[in-house]
Amino acid sequence: MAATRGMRLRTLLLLAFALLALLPLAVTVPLASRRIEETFARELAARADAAATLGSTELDRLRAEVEQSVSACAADPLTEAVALQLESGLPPAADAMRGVAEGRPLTVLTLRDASGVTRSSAFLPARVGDVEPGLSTVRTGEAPVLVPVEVQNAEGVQLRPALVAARPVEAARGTAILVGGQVLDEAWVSRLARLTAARVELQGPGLAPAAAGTAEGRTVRRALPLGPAELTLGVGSAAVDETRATLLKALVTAGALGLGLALIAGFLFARGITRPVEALTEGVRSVAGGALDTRVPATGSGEVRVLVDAFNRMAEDLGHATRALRAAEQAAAWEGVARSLAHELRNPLTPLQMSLETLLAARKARDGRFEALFVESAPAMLEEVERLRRTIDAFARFARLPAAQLEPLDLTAWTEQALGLAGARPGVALRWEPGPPLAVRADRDQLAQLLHNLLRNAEEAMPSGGQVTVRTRGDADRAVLEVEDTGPGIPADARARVLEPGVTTKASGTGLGLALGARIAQGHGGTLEVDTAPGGGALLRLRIPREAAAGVRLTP
Amino acid sequence: MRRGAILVLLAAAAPLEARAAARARDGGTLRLAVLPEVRADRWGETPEGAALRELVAAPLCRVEGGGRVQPVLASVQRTADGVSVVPRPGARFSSGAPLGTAELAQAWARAVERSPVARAALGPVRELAPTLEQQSRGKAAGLLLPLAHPWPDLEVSLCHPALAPVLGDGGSDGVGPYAPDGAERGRAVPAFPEGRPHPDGFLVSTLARRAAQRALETRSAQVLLGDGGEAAAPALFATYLVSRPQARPMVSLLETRLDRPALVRSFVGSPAAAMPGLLPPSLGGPERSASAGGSPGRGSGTALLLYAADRPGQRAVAQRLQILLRDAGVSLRLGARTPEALDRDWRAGQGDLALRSVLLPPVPAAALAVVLELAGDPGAGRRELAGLGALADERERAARTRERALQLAGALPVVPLYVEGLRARLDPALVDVRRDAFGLWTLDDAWWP
Repeated sequence: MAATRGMRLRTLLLLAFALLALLPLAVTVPLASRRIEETFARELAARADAAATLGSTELDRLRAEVEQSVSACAADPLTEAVALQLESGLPPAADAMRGVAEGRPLTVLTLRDASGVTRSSAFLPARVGDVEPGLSTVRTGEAPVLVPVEVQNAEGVQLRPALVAARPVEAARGTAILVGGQVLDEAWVSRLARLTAARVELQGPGLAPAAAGTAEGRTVRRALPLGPAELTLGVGSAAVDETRATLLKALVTAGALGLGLALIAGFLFARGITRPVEALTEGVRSVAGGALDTRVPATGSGEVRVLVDAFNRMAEDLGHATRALRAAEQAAAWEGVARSLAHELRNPLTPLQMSLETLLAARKARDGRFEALFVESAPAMLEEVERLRRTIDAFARFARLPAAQLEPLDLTAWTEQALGLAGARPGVALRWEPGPPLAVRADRDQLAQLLHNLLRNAEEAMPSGGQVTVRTRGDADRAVLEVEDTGPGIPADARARVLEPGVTTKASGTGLGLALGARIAQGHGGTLEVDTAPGGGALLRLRIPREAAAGVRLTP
Repeated sequence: MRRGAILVLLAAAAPLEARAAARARDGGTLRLAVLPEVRADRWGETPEGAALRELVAAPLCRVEGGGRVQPVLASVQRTADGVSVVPRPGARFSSGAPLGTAELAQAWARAVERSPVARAALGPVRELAPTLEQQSRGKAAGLLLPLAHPWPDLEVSLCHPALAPVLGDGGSDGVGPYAPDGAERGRAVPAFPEGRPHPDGFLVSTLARRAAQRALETRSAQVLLGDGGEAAAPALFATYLVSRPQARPMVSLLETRLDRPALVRSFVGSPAAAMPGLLPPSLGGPERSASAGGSPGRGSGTALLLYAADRPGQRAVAQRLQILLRDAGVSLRLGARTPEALDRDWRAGQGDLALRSVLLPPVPAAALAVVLELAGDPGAGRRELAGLGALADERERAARTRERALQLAGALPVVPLYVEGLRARLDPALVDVRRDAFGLWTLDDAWWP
């Protein structure tokens, strides 16, 4: 939990730093993006306007060029020759005007008669003899106008817009009219697209559409009406979008870089703060676990340093106090042991002393009953000596209990086997209630000593007989061994102290059996509990940790 | 050529004092200026191309103005069931190979693959392909051509330039008074069966029209091919519009809008004439078309018209037809082809319409045979020709042919458009240039004082 809290603190600090780094980005990026958007939109509109201006200029240039070229063609000697031939009644060759058009920037050049019938054509000789609908509407002397003209190729005949002008051939006295101009075809549209760097579309009702150039992305268009056709110039936002994207990318990259640096700085800062706190938390945990010599390294500064120093001082004080308390407890325990030992030793010593004094007095008085007294007293004295030896052995075992040699075993199976060997005193019934297999790690010898002590304790509590019930069971993480008797039980006020050395509720006994059992239980990481059975007898309960069943090879 | 005969004629016709001055002298170079389109006519399918090509690839025989057939490279003899074509001794290709029956059979087998005129000329031959195949491996003295039906005009047909024997696919290894000496020159062949020509050789210059005209005017060229011409000369180079069945409605639309004289005047040029009938006027065909009647209709759809790209007249007419059909609501695409590819693709089923120009034989029945070949129905054509061939009298056959041509005009998928003559001009100083029944000049006798 403390570690989690430590992580939370660190996370909170990191989040705070990230928030601090993101906040300016969240404010500045939208503002900058909007500003960039507006700037580029103005730029796009300006480019579209410039393209439209260029388109208009190109059309003006084309008009001037057509006007000049057609006037020059009308005065060309070859044109005059063809016109004079026409005037004389001889039909000129259908493509006689081709020679006139050579070397001139014209893609329409037609000689028509006064009635509007085409008599020779440089680019559409197949129309000779017909009235070309578009060209017949062009009046002489006017500035170039846009009319639909027929353009022929292998794929068919298409109508395309053309800027044309009509001029009379003076040599033919008005009987021949020259109409020339330039078709605004795909080549012209492509040239205009290159010139304006825009997508150019030229279309109109019945006209073959022509388009060139590209305008990717959002397109801003400008239209130039040209009579029967409409010229549209579109500027795409792709380049602008790319620039804008680059700028935004740079902005976001800078923001991400700042965020990353803020996170690194925040991490380092948070670690600087939380490390002493985490060490302090760990120290508190260690101290709580009994490691009173734990000290937290004195890192950090300021309040954290003061806190660490205070903790170390507190741990040191607590260590001193605990050691003093432990010494006092040990002294008290040894006092109890000594008192018990003195009591146990004194009890046999008094009869011994009295028997010896009686024997000495009889010997001194040369009493004739000395022999009888000696024979009578000697067994009692030997019994007391034996009692002294047992008492001393019991204290010796208590004092010399070695460290437990733990090994995996099944507590239920082991108990069943041990009970089979132990048996019971006459008058005492032994009842076995086995539980499920219980995997534990235990020292077989010490566990046998413990079970022996608990059975002895139960038997001694029932001098007139009764029943001892031994059972095993398990809970979530502990294996339980219970020994229950039908004796008088242990008084409530004695339960707390009955596990202390030298404390006993029986008339005879060293008071070390249950204390030894408690030490054995402690050596197995468990506890020995004193309770009252439902029937009023004593219930002693051993709890030791269970081993995970998987992977543990169990033996009785 | 026939130098002795000419000299005899000259001697008989001219006063004695003039004989020495007018005598043909050997030597010199005949200079020809040709327009690019003439040069492009590799197989001599146009009159100008044929006139040029005859210098190095003479026809089998000549049809003189009066209709008499004069053997040149071979004689044609009638047999019980057909004819036997016997090559003249000494006739050799320019590569040196002698002209035998096998070479002749091979040359004709190739000719019928590319030329409708050759197919029509040899059409009456029974099982033509196997016959030619069989005799292309033999060494008989004469090429035997069994006929499926009587065909009195076969001799005239075999004189067509399209049947001039040529070895290989190059088109230049023929049997002519001159042998090619590079791409632009030819040298006289002394062993030519008709005798060597008077000049030592010829030189061809390919020039634009104006340059060619100037060359003739300045006498740096003696012959101009591709420009000029005589309106009175026989005009047998006929152009037809052939169509598939699905294109008949478009043809009907065209016929209501077609003005043949205007077409000739504006897009073909002289010497040419409108040809309202299947036979040209020079073969007795009608000179004026009957009124189509009714107002021009309108249609829809698209069609592909094939034409010969090397022929300026065809290109201009094709464009005019495209315009006329556009006015009628039909979109016409133009497919330009070389003449060989045009014949091959049309026979393979490409295109809806095609312009076909052919040099017609100078007799009506043989000319109608070519028209029937263009119509693309061999069975019907053979039946028609069998009927005509059964008429032994030449005049009766010609009259019957003209009558049938008028009757077939509306039924065949062939629309006659116009007919052209030889476009050529000569230096007035050139002597002994004669015109044959095809309207072509024979230049191998030419000389100049």
